[in-house]
This record gives sequence, structure tokens and C-alpha cells, in this order.
Amino acid sequence: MTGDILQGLGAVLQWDVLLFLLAGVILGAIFGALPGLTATMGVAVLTPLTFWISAEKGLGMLLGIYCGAIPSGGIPAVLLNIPGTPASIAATWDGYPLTRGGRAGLALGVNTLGSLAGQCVSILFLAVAAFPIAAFGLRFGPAEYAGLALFGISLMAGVSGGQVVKGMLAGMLGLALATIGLDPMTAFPRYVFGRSELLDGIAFVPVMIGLFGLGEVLSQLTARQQEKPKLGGALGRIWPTLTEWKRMAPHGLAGAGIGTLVGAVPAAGGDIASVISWEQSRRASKNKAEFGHGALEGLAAAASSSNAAIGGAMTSMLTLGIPGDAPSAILIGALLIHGLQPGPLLFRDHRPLVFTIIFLMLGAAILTAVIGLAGARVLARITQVPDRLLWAGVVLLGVVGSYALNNSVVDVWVMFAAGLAGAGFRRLGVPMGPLVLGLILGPMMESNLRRALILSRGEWTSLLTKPIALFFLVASVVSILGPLWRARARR
Amino acid sequence: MAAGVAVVRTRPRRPPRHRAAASNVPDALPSIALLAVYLALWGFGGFAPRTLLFLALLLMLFGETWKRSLVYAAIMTAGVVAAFQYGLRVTLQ
Repeated sequence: MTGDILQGLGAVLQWDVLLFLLAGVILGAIFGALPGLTATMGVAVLTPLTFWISAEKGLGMLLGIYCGAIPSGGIPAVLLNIPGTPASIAATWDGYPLTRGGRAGLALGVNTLGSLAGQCVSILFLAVAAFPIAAFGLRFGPAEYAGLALFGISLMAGVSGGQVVKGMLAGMLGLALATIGLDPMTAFPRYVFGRSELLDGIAFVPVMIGLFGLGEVLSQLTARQQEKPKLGGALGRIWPTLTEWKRMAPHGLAGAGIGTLVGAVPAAGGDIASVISWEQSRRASKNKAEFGHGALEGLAAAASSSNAAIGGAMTSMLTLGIPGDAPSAILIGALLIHGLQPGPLLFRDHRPLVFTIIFLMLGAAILTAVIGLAGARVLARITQVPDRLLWAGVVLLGVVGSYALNNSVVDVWVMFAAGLAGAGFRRLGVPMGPLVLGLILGPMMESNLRRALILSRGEWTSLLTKPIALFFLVASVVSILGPLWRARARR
Repeated sequence: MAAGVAVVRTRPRRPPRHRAAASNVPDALPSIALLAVYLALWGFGGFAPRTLLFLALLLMLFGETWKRSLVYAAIMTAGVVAAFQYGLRVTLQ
């Protein structure tokens, strides 16, 4: 184990890997700080760039973007009352009142330090919990994997933000799209309409670029634009006092715990985590009335939980191959590009790389905090870049990035279609997390279920005789029926 | 993961306070049509000039002046060609 840790650390301490990590963090900070650009969009449009570099450098850049964008999303949330990323919605509730009260610097400082705390706690969770989870996962056979994938897909109802039916429909669409291409067991072509480009199935990365890159741009184009608010005056002090530290610390740590747990749930990312954490922090606080009017505790809880979701999401993704949120779903695509399959086998066959990922995340968290504290004033200025330049840049990167993956125009058209679908989904209020889950978990569920049935000679009841598989099946039923029952009861 | 699901169930129903915007689909149609034409012409006329023209028109549709559109389009095109064609050796058509 020690040798693996040192090997993983050694890979991170290469100057070129550190350079890609730094570049990723800076790009992430820019993507996060600019309202309209998100962490998901950054990871999606820049994944194709990592195709030509080593896994360590590529993961360094993408994890840098991921870990850099989420904290920076709090900058426009605090200064302009516009969340830079969906995860920073709750940061507006106390961050912006602090800015209006003349304490913008302190709000930025709390956002950055809370983010660092959240990321560090969740990375610690990843380092401690991932290996036992992966070791448990090694006991899984096809039936257990089929059950796990079904459970992951079934969660789409629970994380659809109240849009249960729309979420389930989006998930079904993802599952349907996942069936395009060669049958995983018999190699029979399905829904390819004679196009050889579709034999490998719908390329995942272009779909993600379309849904979260082009789709977001088109969605913002269709929204009647309002003038971006102008920055106020001086930021003031950034560093909290000892008394403020003491007030915030319990809320920040509780937020980190909540964020880590919520992040581990498929498709429940930092946005859900931060809202839950803010509310729990308000309930637990003696100063309830201050929440929503500039409570440092509320901002600390929101910032730490939205960032802690990163480690939770990465734990599910790396150990079981089930993404916790959209950026970690795209990271699955990035790992596959380098021939690495997330799941328990990653921890058996590529242990040093797992430690490399953990150290890269830790490095990204520290670099992001340094940039956030030292460059707060510069990042505050970045929020003023005109939207139209950002949109044009995202469209161009989306087109060229999709093409560059396989030198295929078909992938670009897939990205275009996914972009139109993404804009339509946003307009109709259809959550996209379930679609991504269906797209990723569909092949995993299908191939494992069919393998399990072949092993049991077509006997479906054999799935019920395996305790782990049975647990996942029962959990799936509860997970699907629970939200539907709750929605019915509410009516 | 199970603990996380239990926590997610406690999510409060609080309306977001950030700015809401009215929707105006026709505003986006020219941009979508321009992108479709750009993709349909992929492989014709060389990547750099085609992309320069596309970006300049796109920026003008977004509300930028034609002079600035040309300058920004030239910078973006040069950046992408430098990064992908010369940096990553991708053949852009």
C-alpha cells in the first residue's frame, strides 16, 4: 500500500502534471466565475483535449477544472447574486447580503475557505472509504452488478427535483439511447440504420458536450437577457477573525459531511447538497433570523457542502462506476478514453492511479484556495466578461472538441442534436441527470443482467437468491415507488 | 450511498432567488440555423476561413458590432487552430 501511495504521489509531483493541474484549476476558476459557464460545461468541452496526453496529465487538467470551478461559482453568487454554477445557488442567500452590507471580501474569503474545508473532508472520505467499498465491490458478480445498476437508475426518480415523471422519462430516453449500436452479447447491430459510425453506439462525450455545453448556450439565448449587474466598490478584508472562525467551523464541517453523503448519491450533486446543508445549518443555529440576511454560518455551510459533493461523487464513480453528478459522469468518459474502467477492478489493477487521482484532487483543492484568496480581486473582474464572447467560445470548443475525439463529423452532429435536446429539456423543466444515468448505467445493467441470466440458464428467480442482488432489487423498488407515493400523497 | 439518499429526502422546497428570465425561442433560431449550415459545410473551403466567417456572423447575431465580431472571431479561430491543429495534431477540415 505504501509503495502505491508513493507511486501515486510521485506521478503527481512531475512538473508537467502539476502544470496541467494548475492550468485546469485556472480554467476551472474562470469557468466557475463566469455566470453561464459551469463546471460540467468546462469538463465536457475540454475532455477531448486530454485524448492526446497521458492519463495523469489529462485527469490533472479535468480534476483541476472540476475542483476549481465549483468554489469559483460562489464568486458571482456572492458579488452579483448570480450563481456561477448550479452548486452555488445557496451561496447567494447569505453571500450577496454580506456584499450589500459592505463585507464582500469577507464573503469571498468564507466561500473559498468553506470550499477548501468541504473538498478536504470529502477527499479524506474518498481516501478512507473507497478501498473498503471497492474491496466489497470485488465480490459482485453479474447479478449483483445488474442489481446495482438498476438501483442507480431507479434513483433517477428520487433526484428529479420534484419532476418525478419527467425525470423517469428522461432516464428511459437515456436507456433507449444506450441500446444503439452492437448488442453487447451477440454483436447484432441495433438501431444503426445502416450507418457504420453508429455501430459503437452513441458517443458519450459528444452527448455530454451537447447537453451541457451547446444546450446551456442555446437555453441562455432563448432567455430574455438582463443586464449583468456591475461590481460594487472595494472588497475589504478577506480573512475571517478568530471569533468568526469559531462561529462558522461547526456549520462548515456539518455541511462537509452532508455534502459528501449527498454527493455519493447518483445524480444528486452540489446544488442539492448546498440547499439541504444551508437549511440544516439554519435549523441548528441560534441565529435563525440572520440566515438569508448575511449569516457567515449559512455561507460556510453552503460553500463546504457544495464542494464536499465532489469527493462523494468521485467515491461512487471510482468504486462502483456510478457517477454522483454530471462532471463525474463525464470523467467516466475521460477515464475510458485512456482505457481505464471505473469500478472495483480499478482499485485492484491500477492502485497507484487511484492515489494519483486522490492527490490530484487534494492539489487542486489547495491551488484553488490559494488562487481564490490571492486572486479574489482578479476573479471578481472576470465576472464582467460579456456573455456573447463566452457563448461563441463554448460553441466553437464544443464543435471542434466533438470532432477531434474520433475525427468524425457524425460526432459533431450528435453533439448538435444533444444540444438542441438539452435546450428543450431546460425549457420543459426536464432534469438531465436521469438521462445521463440511463446512458451510462444502461449498458452496465443490460450486459450484466444478460450474463447473470446465461449463468442461471434463463432462470429469473436466481436473482432473488443472491442476498446483495436482492437487496439492490428491493432498494430499487422502494426508490421508484417512494417518490411516486410521496407525490401522490402531496396531491 | 443509502445515507445520502436519506439526506436527499430531507431537501427543503425553497424557491430559487436568482433572477428568472422570460423565454424567447425565436431569438435562438438564427444561431441554430447558422450552426447547422456551418456543420453542413464541414470539409468545404478550409477550416480557418469557414470558422472565421461562422464566428463573426454568430457574434453579430449575439449583438456584437461587425468590427469587434471580426476581431474576436479571428482571435478565437487562431487559438483553436493553434491548440488543435498545431498543438494536438488534429486535422481540422
